[in-house]
Amino acid sequence: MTAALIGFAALLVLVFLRLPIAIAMGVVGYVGFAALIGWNWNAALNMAAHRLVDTAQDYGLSVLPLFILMGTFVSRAGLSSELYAASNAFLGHRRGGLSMATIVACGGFSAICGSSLATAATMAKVAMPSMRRYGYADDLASASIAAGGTLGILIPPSVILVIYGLLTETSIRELFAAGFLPGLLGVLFYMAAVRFVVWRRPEKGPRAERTDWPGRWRALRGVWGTVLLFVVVMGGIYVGAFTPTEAAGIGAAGAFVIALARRSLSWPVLLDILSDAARTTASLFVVLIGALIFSNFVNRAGLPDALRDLVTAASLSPMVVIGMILLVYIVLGCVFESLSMLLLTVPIFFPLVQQLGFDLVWFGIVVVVVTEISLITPPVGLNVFVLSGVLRDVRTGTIFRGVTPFWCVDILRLTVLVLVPAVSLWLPAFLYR
Amino acid sequence: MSEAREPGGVAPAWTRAVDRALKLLEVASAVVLLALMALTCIDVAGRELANAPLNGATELTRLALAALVFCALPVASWRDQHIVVDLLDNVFPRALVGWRQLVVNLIAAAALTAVAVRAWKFAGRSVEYGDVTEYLHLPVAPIVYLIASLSALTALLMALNGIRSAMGYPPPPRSADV
Repeated sequence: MTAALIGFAALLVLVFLRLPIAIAMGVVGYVGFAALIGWNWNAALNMAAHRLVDTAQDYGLSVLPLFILMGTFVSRAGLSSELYAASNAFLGHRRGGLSMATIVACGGFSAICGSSLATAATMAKVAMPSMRRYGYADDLASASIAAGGTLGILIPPSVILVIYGLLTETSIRELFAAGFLPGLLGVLFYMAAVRFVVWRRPEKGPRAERTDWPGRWRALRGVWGTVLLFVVVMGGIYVGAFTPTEAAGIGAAGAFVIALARRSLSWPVLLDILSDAARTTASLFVVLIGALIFSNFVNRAGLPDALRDLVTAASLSPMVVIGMILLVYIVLGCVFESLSMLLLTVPIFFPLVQQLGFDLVWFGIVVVVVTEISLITPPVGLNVFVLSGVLRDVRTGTIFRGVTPFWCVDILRLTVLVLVPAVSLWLPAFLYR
Repeated sequence: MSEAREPGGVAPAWTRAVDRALKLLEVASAVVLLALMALTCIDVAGRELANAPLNGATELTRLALAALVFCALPVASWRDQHIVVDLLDNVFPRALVGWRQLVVNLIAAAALTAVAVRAWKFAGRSVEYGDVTEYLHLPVAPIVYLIASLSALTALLMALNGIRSAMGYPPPPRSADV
């Protein structure tokens, strides 16, 4: 226990000195592991090097680059504009309707893209100009993109859920099924937040023109590519036609074909997309390898057992423990980047959660929703930063101000998901168990 | 995010030479990723449509994955795309940023060198034992040599990155990750 705590403190110091988080976890894991086995540097280095060589060749991990590639293709193919046009045709005439349409379109885009930052950045380019044209307040407009974008990691496919599944050895297809309803709930709650904002201050989200039914059908026809991609990829996993890994390959190829058909590819663009996805994969892999080395050390140091003993000794009820873990996440979420937070904490918490008798699929969804919240929590909300990078003339403070109602409904959604596990577990149970 | 000098300013000639040399690895990683995608599709299509799965697809996928990750890693490292906690960036004394980056990158380089050397030994051992893959009987050693040497290259580039920062040049602009 003491060794693990010293290790954790050293890790925090190193990452705050801006050592890449992968290296920090790897180095602390290596030194700590050596210390625990009687300063046997040789055996510890063997452990670390084996992790490096084996993880890079782990078949199950090939799902990562392929889903990342799929997301990069669909982001460049411009599918977001049709999604936005379609949801706009149905919602735009309401007060705050363009914001609601943004959220629905973000939800739709999340169904083919596993990354929150990519979802926010892509939607910003199509949704922001049109909300500006109709005189939407900057804070509401940008916040609905930032919040809607967080759905990217919850609605399957999701890169974060894949990483959680790999760390905890939980079924990825069950995690994907479990993320679906909480994602829809997120869309509804965000729309309610928009309603609340325009109810208080109607001038923030004026009405746009109503689209007639023929126009709506025309707009819907524009999103067939997105729908087809989602149905093939997720449907293929759900009916068991292929594994998540294979689905990722099919999805990437489908997105490639869509991008080709829309003439959004040239040789330089293709190279750029592939290399971008490859580099993202590499930086994720080293973090994953670092996290695995670190969790070797943490487990060897007996931290999960010590935590369990602590909980037993204090005779806390399991729900109180979950509440405390979530509180830790929300606090960490203020300062940590989402993926780092997940990788640092999941190896420590999941054995405890499992021993308390909770479902790891359910815990995965809860953790991802907390991660979503951290993406829009000041002072370090990555989605907000990405957005202010894309929308140069909107200040970070403006977006954070607008995000407040969305943050509140997120906390509400988290409470619902924690208290009613069925929202997450019904679909995977219905499909697979 | 920009530090002492703006990107696009006069970068020393050697950093531009590194940029050009890394283009090769960048293209390699792109080609492998495309191949990985095609491999998965051919495997699934063969199995579902023609009832003829690709022999040894799993093994090829594993090799492609390792090649992809380690071809892209030097490029990502040179462009400073590692995931970092940049919370203290605004309070950290600006004058010391270059030196901090030097120290941090040298630590990373040392760690990567250590595992690269050890992985190289693993590869040597599998040559000795004549290890081959289960299905296609491909030798195991080459991919481990590739992992070891590209990790070592990454270590070298991170050390150079540290030197570049200490000289006051920011790395090329990074793109958004996950």
